[in-house]
Amino acid sequence: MRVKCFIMGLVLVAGTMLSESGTRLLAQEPTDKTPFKDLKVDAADGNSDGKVTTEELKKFLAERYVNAWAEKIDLNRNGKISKREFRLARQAFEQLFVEESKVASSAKSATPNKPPTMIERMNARFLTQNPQLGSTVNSLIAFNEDGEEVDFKDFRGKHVVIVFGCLT
Amino acid sequence: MYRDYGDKVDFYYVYKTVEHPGINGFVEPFSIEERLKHIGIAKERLNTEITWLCDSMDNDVKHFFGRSPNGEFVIGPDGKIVRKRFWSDADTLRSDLEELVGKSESFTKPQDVETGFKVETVPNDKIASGVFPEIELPKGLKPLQIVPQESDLPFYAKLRVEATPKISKGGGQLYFFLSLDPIHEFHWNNLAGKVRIELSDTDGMRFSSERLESDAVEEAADIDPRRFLVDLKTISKGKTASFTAKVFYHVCDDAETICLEAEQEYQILLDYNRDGGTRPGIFMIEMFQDIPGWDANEDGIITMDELPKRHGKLVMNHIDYSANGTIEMDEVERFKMMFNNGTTIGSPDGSAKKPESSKPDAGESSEDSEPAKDE
Repeated sequence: MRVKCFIMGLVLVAGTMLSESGTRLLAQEPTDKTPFKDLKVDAADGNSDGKVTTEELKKFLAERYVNAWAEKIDLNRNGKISKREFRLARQAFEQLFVEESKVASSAKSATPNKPPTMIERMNARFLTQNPQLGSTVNSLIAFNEDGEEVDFKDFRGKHVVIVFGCLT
Repeated sequence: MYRDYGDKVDFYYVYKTVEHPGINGFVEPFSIEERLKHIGIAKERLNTEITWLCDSMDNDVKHFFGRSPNGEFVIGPDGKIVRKRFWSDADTLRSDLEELVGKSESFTKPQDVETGFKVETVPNDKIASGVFPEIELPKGLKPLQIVPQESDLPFYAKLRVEATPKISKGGGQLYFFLSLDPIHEFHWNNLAGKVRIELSDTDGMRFSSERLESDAVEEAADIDPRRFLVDLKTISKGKTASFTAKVFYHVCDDAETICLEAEQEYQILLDYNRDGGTRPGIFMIEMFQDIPGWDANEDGIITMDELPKRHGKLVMNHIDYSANGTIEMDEVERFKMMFNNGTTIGSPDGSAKKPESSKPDAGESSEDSEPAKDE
C-alpha cells in the first residue's frame, strides 16, 4: 500500500509536470526501457477528443504504470520504499522528464512524429545515470600533455567543455 | 566550436581507454607514457589546437563521468555539471554555449578546419600484414582483467584475453590476442621463432593446453596479431581466480636497427574488464560492406533518408566529415581507410599485404640470411 501511495505521488508529479506540455510529450514515440515505452496518445486519450488532459493522464498512468513502477522502485523487493530508493526513483523520474522534454522540443521543430534516434535514446538513458546534472566536479586528477597532474577543481571560474575520445 | 568560443570557454579533450582495440593496430596502453603517445598521434591526426587531458591508468575521469565512449559535458564556473550527453554533438553543444555564455561572433564550420587526417597502415614494404590466419571465435567474448607484470623491456606486443560468459563459474573458452603496439614501431621477427604463451599458476583450472604456440608464418616479418583459443574448465573460485601467462616473442624495429627477444608476464583474472572495450568484429566488416548499398538512388550521395533508420544519425556523425548533412563517396572512402575496412590489419582495402621481395630481409642480421640474432 505504501508503495502504491508513493507511485501515485509520482504520477501526480508527472501529471503536474506534463500539464503544460503533456500532449506534446505524448506525441513522441517512447524510448526503449523507459516507463513510457508503450505510451501512446490514443491510449491515454480517454474521451477520444485528440487531446490528453492532465486528469486523463493521471488516470491512465495510475492504471497502466502503478504496479510496474512499484516493483521497479522497490529495488530490494522488501515491500517498502527506503529513503535511498525514494531518492533514486525521484532522480530517475526527474531526469527522464528533462530529457523527454528536450527530445520533444527538438522533434517539434523537425518532424513531430519522428521516433527518437539511437543517440537520443542513449542520451536519455545517460541522463539518468551518474554524475547527475547539477552535481559538482570536485578533486579529480588527470594528466596534461606533459604528464603532469591536473586537478579538475582548478578549472573553476569559467565554463568548461570536456569531450571524451580515443584513437579507435 | 573551440575557435568560436575558446575565449569564453575552456575546452578539453579527455583521452580515455581505447574503445575498439585492434583497429589500425592500436591497443590499450599499459602506462601513462604510452597513453600520452596516443594523444600525440591523435593530435597529429586531428590537427587540433584543443588541450588534451590524459585519464589516469585507473580511468578515474572516465568512471566519474559515467563511462561514455564519446561523452560531452559542460561544467559551470562553480564546478557543477550543467550539460551532459552520451555522445558528443556539435550542434547541441553550440546551442548549449549560446544559452550559457551567449552567441559567438564567429561561426566556424567543420569544413573550415583542416584536420590533417592521414592513415598509416603498414610500416614498410618489407613487412607483411594480413597473413596470419584468422580463427573462428565463439560468441559473447568479453575482455578479462589483466595485470602486466614488471618488465625490463617495453611491451612491444600487448596481450588481451577475452572469455566467454560465466567463465569463472565452470569455464568456457579463452581467446588470447597478442598484438604489436604500433606506437613502438616493431614487427614480428619470424625468422627467430614463433610466438609462445605459457600458462601457469593454474590451480583449480584445467586448460585444453597450457603451452600455446602460434602457427608458422611464411613471411620473415609481419605485424599481424597472434591469436589463440583455449578451452578452460574451472572449479568454483569465482572472480578471484587468476593464472599467469608468460609470453615469449621475437621482434625487430621497423627501421631494422635492432632485434630483440622478449619474455613478459601477465596475471589474468577471471573477472571481466568493463574498460576493455570491444574488438571490431564481424559487425563492422558487414557494416562497411553495406555502405555502398545505402545510396539507394545511386546518385553518389548518401542522404539521411537513405541511411538505416536505427543508426542513421550515428553513421552520419561518423562519416559526414564536411558536416554538410550528406555523405559523399570520398567521405566513405576516407572512413573506410580510417578503419581499414573494419579489419584490424592489412592494407586499406582489407586484403593481405605481402612483402615486395620474395626473400625479405627484415629481421636478418647477417649476410648469410640466418635468422636474426636477438640482442
